[in-house]
Amino acid sequence: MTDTSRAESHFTASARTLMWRRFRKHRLAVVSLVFLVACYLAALFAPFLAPYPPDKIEKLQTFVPPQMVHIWDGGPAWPFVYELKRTRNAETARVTYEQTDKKIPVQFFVRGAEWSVFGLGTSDLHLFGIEAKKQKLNLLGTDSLGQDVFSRLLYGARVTLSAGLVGVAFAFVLGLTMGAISGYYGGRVDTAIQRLMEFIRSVPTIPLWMGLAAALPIEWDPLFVYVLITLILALISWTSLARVVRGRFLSLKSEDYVLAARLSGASQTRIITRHMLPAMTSYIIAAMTLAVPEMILGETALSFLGLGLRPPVVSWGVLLQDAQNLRSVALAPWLLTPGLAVVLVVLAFNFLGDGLRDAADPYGQ
Amino acid sequence: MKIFALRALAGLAASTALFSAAWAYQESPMLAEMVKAGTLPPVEERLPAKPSVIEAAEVGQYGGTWNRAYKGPGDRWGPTKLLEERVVKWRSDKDGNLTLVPGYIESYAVNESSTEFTFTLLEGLKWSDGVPVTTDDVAFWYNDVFLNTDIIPTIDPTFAPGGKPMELEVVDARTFKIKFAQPYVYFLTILAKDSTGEPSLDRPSFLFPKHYLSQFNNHYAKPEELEAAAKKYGVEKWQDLWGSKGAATAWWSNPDLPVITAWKIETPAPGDVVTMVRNPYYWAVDQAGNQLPYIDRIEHRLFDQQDAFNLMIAQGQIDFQMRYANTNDFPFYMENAEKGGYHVIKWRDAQAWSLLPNLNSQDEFLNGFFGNADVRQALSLAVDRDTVNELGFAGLGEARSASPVTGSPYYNADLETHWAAYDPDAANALLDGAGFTEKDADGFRLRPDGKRITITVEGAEDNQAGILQVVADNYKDIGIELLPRIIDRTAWDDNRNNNTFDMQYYPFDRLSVVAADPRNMMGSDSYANQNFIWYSTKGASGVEPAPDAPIRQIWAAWDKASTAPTREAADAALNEMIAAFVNAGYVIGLVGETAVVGIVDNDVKNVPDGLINDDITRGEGLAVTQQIWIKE
Amino acid sequence: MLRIILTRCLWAIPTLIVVSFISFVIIQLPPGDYVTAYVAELRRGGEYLTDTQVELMRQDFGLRDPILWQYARWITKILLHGDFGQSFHYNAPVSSLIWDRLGLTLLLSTISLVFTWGIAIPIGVYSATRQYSVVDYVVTIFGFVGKGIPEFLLALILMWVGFSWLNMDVGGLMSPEFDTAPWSIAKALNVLEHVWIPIVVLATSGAAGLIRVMRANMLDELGKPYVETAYAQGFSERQVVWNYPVRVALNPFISTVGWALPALFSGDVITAVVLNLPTTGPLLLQALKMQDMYLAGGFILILSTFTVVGTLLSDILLAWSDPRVRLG
Repeated sequence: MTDTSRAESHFTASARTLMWRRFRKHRLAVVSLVFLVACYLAALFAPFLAPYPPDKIEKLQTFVPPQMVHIWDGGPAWPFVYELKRTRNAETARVTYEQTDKKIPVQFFVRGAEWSVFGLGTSDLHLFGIEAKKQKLNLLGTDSLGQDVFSRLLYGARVTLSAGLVGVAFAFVLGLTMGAISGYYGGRVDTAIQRLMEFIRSVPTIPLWMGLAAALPIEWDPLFVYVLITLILALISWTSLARVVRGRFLSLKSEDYVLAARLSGASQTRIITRHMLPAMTSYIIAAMTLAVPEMILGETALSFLGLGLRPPVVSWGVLLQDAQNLRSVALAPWLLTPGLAVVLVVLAFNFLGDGLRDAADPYGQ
Repeated sequence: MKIFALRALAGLAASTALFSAAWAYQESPMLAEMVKAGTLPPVEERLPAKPSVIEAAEVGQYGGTWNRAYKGPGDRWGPTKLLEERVVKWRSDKDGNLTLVPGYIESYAVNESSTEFTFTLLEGLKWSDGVPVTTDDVAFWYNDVFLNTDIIPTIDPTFAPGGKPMELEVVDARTFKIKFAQPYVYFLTILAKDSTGEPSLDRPSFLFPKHYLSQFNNHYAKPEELEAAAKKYGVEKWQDLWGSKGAATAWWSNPDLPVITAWKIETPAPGDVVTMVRNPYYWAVDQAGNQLPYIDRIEHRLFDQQDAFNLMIAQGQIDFQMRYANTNDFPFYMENAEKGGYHVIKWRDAQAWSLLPNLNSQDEFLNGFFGNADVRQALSLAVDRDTVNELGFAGLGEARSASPVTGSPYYNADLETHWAAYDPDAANALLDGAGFTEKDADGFRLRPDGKRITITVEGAEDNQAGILQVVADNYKDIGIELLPRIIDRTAWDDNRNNNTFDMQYYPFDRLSVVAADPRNMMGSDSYANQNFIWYSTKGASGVEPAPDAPIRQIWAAWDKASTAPTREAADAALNEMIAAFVNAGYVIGLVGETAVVGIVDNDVKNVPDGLINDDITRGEGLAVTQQIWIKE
Repeated sequence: MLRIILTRCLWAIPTLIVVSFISFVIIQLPPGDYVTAYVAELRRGGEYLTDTQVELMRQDFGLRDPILWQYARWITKILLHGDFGQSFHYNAPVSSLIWDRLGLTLLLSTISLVFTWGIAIPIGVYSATRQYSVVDYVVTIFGFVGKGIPEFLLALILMWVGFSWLNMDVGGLMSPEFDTAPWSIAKALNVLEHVWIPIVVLATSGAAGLIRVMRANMLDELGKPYVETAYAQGFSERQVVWNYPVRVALNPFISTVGWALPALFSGDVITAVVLNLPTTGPLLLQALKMQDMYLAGGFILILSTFTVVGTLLSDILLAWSDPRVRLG
């Protein structure tokens, strides 16, 4: 393609194409997008990618440290791991593992525990694993019950990256709408919404959660209860965003371009969504990316009150709860890896957001 | 009348001979200074004429502060058990055998029919303010507190067997008799645990300091004086000065209250630090004539969260404590022992962590399901207790049923392993035999109405989630769906109260001297609370059990034991009761006799290892805290 | 302006009444009541109460009365006598319990708040003006690490590192030997040695979010034509950035700054619990868990009042900082 035709295509391209081109230039955003897509795929195919079921208890393999997969054995070699020997210190009762000289090759497409293929049938194929007696491949180690942390991380992504985000989305829609209405119209509407917000902020949440925890039938699926609670959480957390949007709108509504739009007969919805909200895109993206970890970690905070997600449901928040004690921090620090996963996903969401913002910014280079 | 030998006094006689030439008592330097300054009479005048002798494992040094941690104003039992006094207390020998030893009394006697108990106070026994303790104080306790319906509205049946409250007869200034309308062989056993009950078992048995407390008593003080006192202590009515947490009458909250314990409160809760200081008038000495206790002061630091406490331990800030040390954290404590300068001792818990099916379930199906002995046996055989022990208790417990523990006078090896083997095949066969043969696509058995058999099990602590997951795994193998739920502690207690639970994960305790408190075996606050209410109210409320229900045998055996004229007959009936309870399999014991870990600073001496830990034997109190000392 | 403030103050009265009543109801939402919790606590200690005694106790505490009546009794005492009532659990007046812990709470939360703002605002501004620079990325990553690790866990890790690698004394406000000692230089130093962990924990999570928000607000502003104009007029970068965009960028921040007021009062509950700090947060948590009605109620009433006052303050600040904002 010649330079002229390129330039030409630039001028005739639709807004969407232009955005995509600008987005592609933001390398980190592209990497983040790929990473997030990979995460979602991994969550979707977790039963295939994970070598073991997430709740498989192994009495004799508790607190196994992460195992290194070797691909160098004096020269390039087929991936293998060393066999581990378990010893229990008679005095301290601590279980430790020692590497023996025996090498166990890592195998691909192995048969293992059965899993359901999207309700269509079952399969027992797993991407990788090892075939050995009383040995498992624990890439990220195991927890206090001998469950494979890597497998749990994959399965946990299913809950965390879906159910966990429902509440965030809900809070956002609510916060933007109420904030915009309050700030744009002002006057009585504003007063009413502000009093409502004050009221919501003042409601003591802890007893509310405790009351709810007791009121909801105990035999309900904890996952369902959790989604319900994130929705209720959203009913409270929208107020912060709404306050900010309102504050900005109060100052923006006297701006010339808003006035111009109004005079030229644009509808109020259009003024709000196309003219005023874009003036604070960065803030909205930042607030959203900040809300994601808050919601994921909200689970762990709620667990203090006997709420939030609990085992046997596997989510990143639940995995982090497992790690939140001195024993884990001191003796099994690999249990903290779900925290790392949270950070990575949130960073990816953030860079993606940055990229989208830059791409959408008509003043951008 | 048979007189029980007083081991402590026998010891005293022997040592008196040894010290006859120059028998002198020693005291803590802290008190010696006060004597020198003239604010305290000399030690000979403070001690009784013949003080009790507590045999210290090793004669120790005076002084020091014993650092511990506590959980807030509601946590008074930890501190209380370190110092509470009763007329008789449990003492454990090195092999873990329990005997009753007299406390602040010189002697006690029981008549042939176990209806009359005679106690003689130590001569020259004094309250912590130096005022002599006499039977006046006993009469005050009886007439003005025990029988005072303004303070104690209803008398606990424990102290009114057959509905008739115990009677007091004062013989002289030091001797008094307690009489019952019917034989009461377990009275001393109960005294050792419950003291004299209401207003609280943290008070000494039979005595209240009349010279101090009469100002708060409506038999002595005028209404306006009582009102002023209530105001002074910041409570609404004068009755609040009494009661379990009474502002004026509980040792835990009132530093002015005269006591007879080895220490008394100095700075009460709520504060970051609760401190207790030695009682200069404490009435016991060690074998060398040193007035006890050795330790001057005990400090309890406030904490709320387990990790905060574990960190105190790792940093060596705890001198001796078992309460709140977590068995599962044993490896953590051991790994940091060198750095923290402590070692870890292990006592045996007189409890079995158990699954508690609700025999009075309001769910009609579950009611019949749990009521079926074959089902209970299947639910018990299906659990792999060794795995639970390994994963939940770091292997520091023992797979066993809910039955008396090793060292208990009622221990029975056969009962200990009752239905405790892991045998999922037998469990499946039992369930098949009970008629639950239909299964759904996931392999779960079905109720007659076609729904899956699902049991919700409730735990109250986060770290129990793993254990319940193991059990849920086991139950899946026998086609029963178990849904583990961890809920708030208050809700957990409340569900038992209101009979709104299927099954709970529950520490079934008081398995040492069962006679002292068999209530949970009889269903109270446990597997059949509604039935127990029916039994204890004689049918006025609660739920009547089926005519052939084994729980009736349990109650009948206890009725027999509690009215038996001799100890032998009573114990025979009690063993019958325990066997009926265990054989019915009402409570599915999983892991018991778990190690209770205790943190002991390397400089803290005379802390015994390997004893039983039970509420009945008063927890850490069994360590005889007065003789523990700290090396400089 | 004065008129608006006055109306708002008048509005606060019905708001507070409604809020206090609803709170009072919500506190009692969880199953059981204080007596349930108390009886269970006694039973664990080996004491048994008969049903008659339990019933008497409920009547004594007034827990059997209709909730409206209970509320009326409580609120009247507060309004007429300033008496917040008696804590069941502590058997002591509510006001003295809260008062005892308030000083330290305010001190700690104020320090960490100032610390947070002091760090976050400049870094956020810098990060925005140098978008996509190395510093920006480092700050971004630090920010999300701070957000991605639960405060509870962060506190634990810091304490563990302090204890096992730095050989420091951690947990609580001071070492046990100073607990009962009078104030001295050594004691003050010891407190300083302990207090850094809570401040770092509180500031990390707070600052991480604030940096992101500040950066984003700045980015929204920096692209505006008026910034170009200012540059074109030859102002230095510092003058341009700090005089105009920063002021506007603070708008979202000012909108919610008032809500820091109730947060100051309660402190961070979870951090305080794990770090074993004698602040008001753990007291509130305990009161709610034990259903210690008057203590919890008093607490929440104060928090609500602060929320309402904080919202008002925010609105005043908003109007003052940005003349374009018109209230009312």
